[in-house]
Amino acid sequence: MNLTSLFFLCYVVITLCIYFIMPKKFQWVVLLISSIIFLFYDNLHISTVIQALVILVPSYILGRKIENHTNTKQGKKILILGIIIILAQLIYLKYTNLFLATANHINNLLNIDYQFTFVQRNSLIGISYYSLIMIGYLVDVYRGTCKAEKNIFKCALFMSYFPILTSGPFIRYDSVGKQLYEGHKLHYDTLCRGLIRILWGLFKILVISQRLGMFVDAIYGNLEMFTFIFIIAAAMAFVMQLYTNFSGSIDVIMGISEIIGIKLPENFNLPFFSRTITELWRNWHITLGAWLKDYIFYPLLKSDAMQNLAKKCKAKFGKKAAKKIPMYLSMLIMWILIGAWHGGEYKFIIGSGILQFIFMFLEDILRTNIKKD
Amino acid sequence: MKREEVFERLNKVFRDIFDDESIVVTEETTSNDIEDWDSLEHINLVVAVEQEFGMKFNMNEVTTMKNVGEMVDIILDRIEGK
Repeated sequence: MNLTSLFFLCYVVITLCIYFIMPKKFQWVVLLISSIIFLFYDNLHISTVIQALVILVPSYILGRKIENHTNTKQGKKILILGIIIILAQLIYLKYTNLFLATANHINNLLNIDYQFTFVQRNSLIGISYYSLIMIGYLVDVYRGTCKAEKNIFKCALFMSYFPILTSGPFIRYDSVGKQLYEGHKLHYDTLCRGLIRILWGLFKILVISQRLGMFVDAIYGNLEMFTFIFIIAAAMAFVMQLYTNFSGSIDVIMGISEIIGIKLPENFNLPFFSRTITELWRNWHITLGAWLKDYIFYPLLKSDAMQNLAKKCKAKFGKKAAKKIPMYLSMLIMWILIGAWHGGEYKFIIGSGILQFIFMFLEDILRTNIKKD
Repeated sequence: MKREEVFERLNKVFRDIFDDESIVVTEETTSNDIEDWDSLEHINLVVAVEQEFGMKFNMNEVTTMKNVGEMVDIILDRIEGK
């Protein structure tokens, strides 16, 4: 279901009408049913139902088990089991071809005359989002940030809340979970604010992004016909096309949620007004950055392995290096994962991952040296 | 251990991590008050504090502590074995 389609807008209007005429106690059930229909609308198949259950059931059962063992070794073991189950499915669905492509490259290098055939996986809409959202939920329960959800259907709603399935933002159980289940009344001011935000979002997508898309496609499709200036202009227009499409989708999602009475975390903060690459990425897809920081970057940097590395670096290269080397290594791992998040192909891992790490690495080195001078 | 003593030892850690001998932390000190205290340095700081006091913060505490006062509360709780 496309966010800008008339069908989607009608779907939202019907959902909201039923939501607000329902007694508060049952409003969350309307959201759940609406989310399940949205989830399987284009892709109802036994395999996609299994995919959803492979995330939901372990998240629910293991979450409840972890709750009794927060911040303990036992809790950690259960948490790791949950993460492995969810990640294994995600890797199987999204990254099989990446591994096959790697195997083919290796075969070429070794002159082995065999090429693996790429596979087509039928994965459920938004599976990357709610795989990570539910991993975050399990980690939060383990850390004691939130209590485990006792009702599996409420857990299912947290996982599948339909507006965020296509573009995010990433939600956290402790801040959004409760809002999903409590009843809401329709307020005139939130209705107006929500509608304005939806209209802004549609304007960004339909008027700006799609128009820029025509310009970009015309040039990218016939590169040999255009001079360097046009290609640069198309590259810049593509960035704006991407931004207006993504942030416009987020506006639509935020607007719908605002009308319901659910406050979602913001995902953009004027990224193109940033002074540095680091700042730009801090203001772009903010909730993905925050997710990675809290669940990957911090634990990685604080891990025994990184601390041992820091000790070795301190002994060999001094205090500054002891701080910087583990940090750069953790950043590199995080950026490879960000690249992989954008798509299971090398171009994403390199372009949206490693290349961005190199920019930030250079920025940090230059900033440190310029400061010294 | 008294609260003042924790602050005294924290001052040493902060000065060492941020390379600034003029730093004096208080209950209300936050990352906004120290120029280089960003999310990257935060972990270095947390690890240095752990080593100084021989205790561990859990990740929830690492990501949610709002100021130095809260950090001191956690340190005292751990030392007193609560």
